Amino acid sequence: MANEPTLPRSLSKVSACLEGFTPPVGSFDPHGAWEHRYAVWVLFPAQSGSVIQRAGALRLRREPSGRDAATLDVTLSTTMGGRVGSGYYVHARLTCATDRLATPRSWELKSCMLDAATGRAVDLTETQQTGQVAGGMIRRQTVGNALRGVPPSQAERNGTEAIPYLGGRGKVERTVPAPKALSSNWSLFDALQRLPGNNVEPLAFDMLEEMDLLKPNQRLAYRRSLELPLSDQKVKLHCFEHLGEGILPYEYWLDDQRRLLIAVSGMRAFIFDPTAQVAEVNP
Amino acid sequence: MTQIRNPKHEIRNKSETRIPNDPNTKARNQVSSRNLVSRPGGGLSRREFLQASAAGSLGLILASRTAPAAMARRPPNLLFIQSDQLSNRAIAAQGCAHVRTPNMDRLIKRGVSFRLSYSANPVCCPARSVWYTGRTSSETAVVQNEWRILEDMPDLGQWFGARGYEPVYIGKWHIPGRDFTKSFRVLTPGHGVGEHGDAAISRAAQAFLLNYRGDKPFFLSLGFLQPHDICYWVWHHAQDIGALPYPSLADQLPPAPPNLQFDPREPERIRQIWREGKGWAYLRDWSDLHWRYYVWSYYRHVEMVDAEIGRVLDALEDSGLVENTVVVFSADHGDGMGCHKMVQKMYFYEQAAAVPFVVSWPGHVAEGALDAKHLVSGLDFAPTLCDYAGIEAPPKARGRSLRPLLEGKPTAWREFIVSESAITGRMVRTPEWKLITYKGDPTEQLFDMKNDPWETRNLATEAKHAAVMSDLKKRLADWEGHLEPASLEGRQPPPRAKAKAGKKT
Repeated sequence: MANEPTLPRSLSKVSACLEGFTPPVGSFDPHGAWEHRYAVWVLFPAQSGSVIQRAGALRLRREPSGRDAATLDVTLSTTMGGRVGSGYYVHARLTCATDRLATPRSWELKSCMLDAATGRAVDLTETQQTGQVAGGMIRRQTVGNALRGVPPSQAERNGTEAIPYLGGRGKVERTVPAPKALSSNWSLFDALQRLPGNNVEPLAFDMLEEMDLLKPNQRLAYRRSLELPLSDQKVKLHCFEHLGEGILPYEYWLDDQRRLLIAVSGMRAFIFDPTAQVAEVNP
Repeated sequence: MTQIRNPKHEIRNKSETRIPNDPNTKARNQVSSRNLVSRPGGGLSRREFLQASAAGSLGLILASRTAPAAMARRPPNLLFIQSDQLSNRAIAAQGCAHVRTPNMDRLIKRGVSFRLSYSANPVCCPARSVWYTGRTSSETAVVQNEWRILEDMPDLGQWFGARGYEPVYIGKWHIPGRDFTKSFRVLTPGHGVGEHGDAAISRAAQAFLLNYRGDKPFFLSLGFLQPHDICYWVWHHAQDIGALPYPSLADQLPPAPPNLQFDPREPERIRQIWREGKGWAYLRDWSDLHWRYYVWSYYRHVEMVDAEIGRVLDALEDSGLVENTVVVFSADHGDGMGCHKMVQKMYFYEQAAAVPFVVSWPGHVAEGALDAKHLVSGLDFAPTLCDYAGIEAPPKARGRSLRPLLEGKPTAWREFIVSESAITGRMVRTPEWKLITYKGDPTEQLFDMKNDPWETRNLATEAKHAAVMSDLKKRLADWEGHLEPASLEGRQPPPRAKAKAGKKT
């Protein structure tokens, strides 16, 4: 499979996104502290009459934490359409093992929709989630932020203390058995960069997408390498493919420094871009 | 995979009544709870359900499981979960063995799911205009995508908003000519690509359900995009794929549809657009492997929206609102799924026209029931919701409330439904037959749906079926005689400028 001559379909799809792309230079230690930013692209096919669309940013910050763990700070902000609720914002802070899958151990997550005009959270769209993997179980709690009928964004503007609403008569904590091997869509951005070389045995695991959608029967395997002309130079890229239930095939392309440059699936791509700016939520 | 359907539990009904003024209702189609297929694991056991039906006490049992005072004070919340381009044949609990849909299955286990459920017009805008007005697409004027709805026709956001409900919308709307922000409180419009936007929709819905503490009951609509992205998949993979792009999938692809070879006697419209037109000519060259990869990919798109639905269902449970919320799950249209070498929709073959229609409300609606007998349509959505809300249906709504079917109450039910496509296409479906006709088109199709469910043999010109053809055409004429078609003048969309491929925005 190595050094296949033709441009794979996945890279053809993102070729327009790579105009002006400047490959990062210098060494990179995937085991240490790093920050990567990616532009989020939506990949309309030409026949659809639409165009590729830059539609958000993803920022990941990794920090080693103790002997066998690291924290992964993730911010994703993407754009929808219209004005109200035109932005989707997620911030998560994960503690992950330093194993091959960057297995998530615990996390905190906040999400909301953003009003494009004000940069504030749209009322009634904020949630908080905490989760842990322990004792063979995945436990997570998701709560809204309603403050005795006052939406949190408004309450914060009024200087009111935030008191999470604890969920009426419903179940607050959800518990499911933890699979033998677990990763998350964000953990993979860390894990892939630390995999030793290209002769890695295929990995089988379940995946927590955005930390609460458990998708079973995932497989990650090394696929190929090739040289891609980028910004007047040829860059050697190494591809891992990711197949599984509930996802479209993903391809992850890393450079020789093991830096993840491109993640692309059916209609969406994450392209390495140190200038990509994630949105901030205005109080 | 959850095994739900148990054919041994299916019981046929024999009793008869007649509602003379309903053009598509006749005597021998009397319905009772016994028409439902009960399934193990439902909240109301089959024995309990049948005993209650026989004794006429189903309503009492259901009522005893609710909080009567609370129910009397406040109408139920209404949660409408829409999927886009989801065939009723692509759900595990409906019998599809190649897809994993634990959350759609969960919905089906909790309520009543209709097997003979059809889009009122199997393409996005028309089907949605029907949902939100209760009128046929020929009456809303949204006969094709991007045609504009009549300005004075009320939509359900306005209708419920004026009758004590908080109408809230999240996700895809796609009814041209109607600004939904004036009819609903919109939390996000979503994005035209499900892979990019559906997570935002389920997150916004999750947050709304966990945060909403208003005095009014809500009518929350969730317009998910998936598995609609399969439309773009087709364009991304239009040309011969040659070998399988991911060789490790070789042993995971579903088999080719059994009707890749089919009866070529199709209406001219279908032949001109799908078989000979420039837009889809490449489909002729797809190999069996290509079609199998297409169907495999479609199922993955279905699984994507299934996961998002799971987030919403979890939130509904966590909110404590589940016992006072009617949940309806449906799709605007299905997908060709490779059958008849078709992709997309806009035609009446079963995979594109049949859509899920699932209703649940714990303690009120039978649980774990698969209704394989009664014909239902997107036209029934508005009357059903209004019935549960205790308000009148929009004026001239053409469908019927499904409530009697959902609660196992005896009622006479229709014998056929009609679906529309574009300006001239019509489908007449009975439990046994499907007539497909395009006005002015010399070729019609008649399929024996009991004995030929894959629609492989067109019987329209066979003399022995002349009486069936005549009967179905008469029913169609009767049905159309009751309608008030809109003038379509000026409703067409302006010509769309072609975007340049590869251009960035």
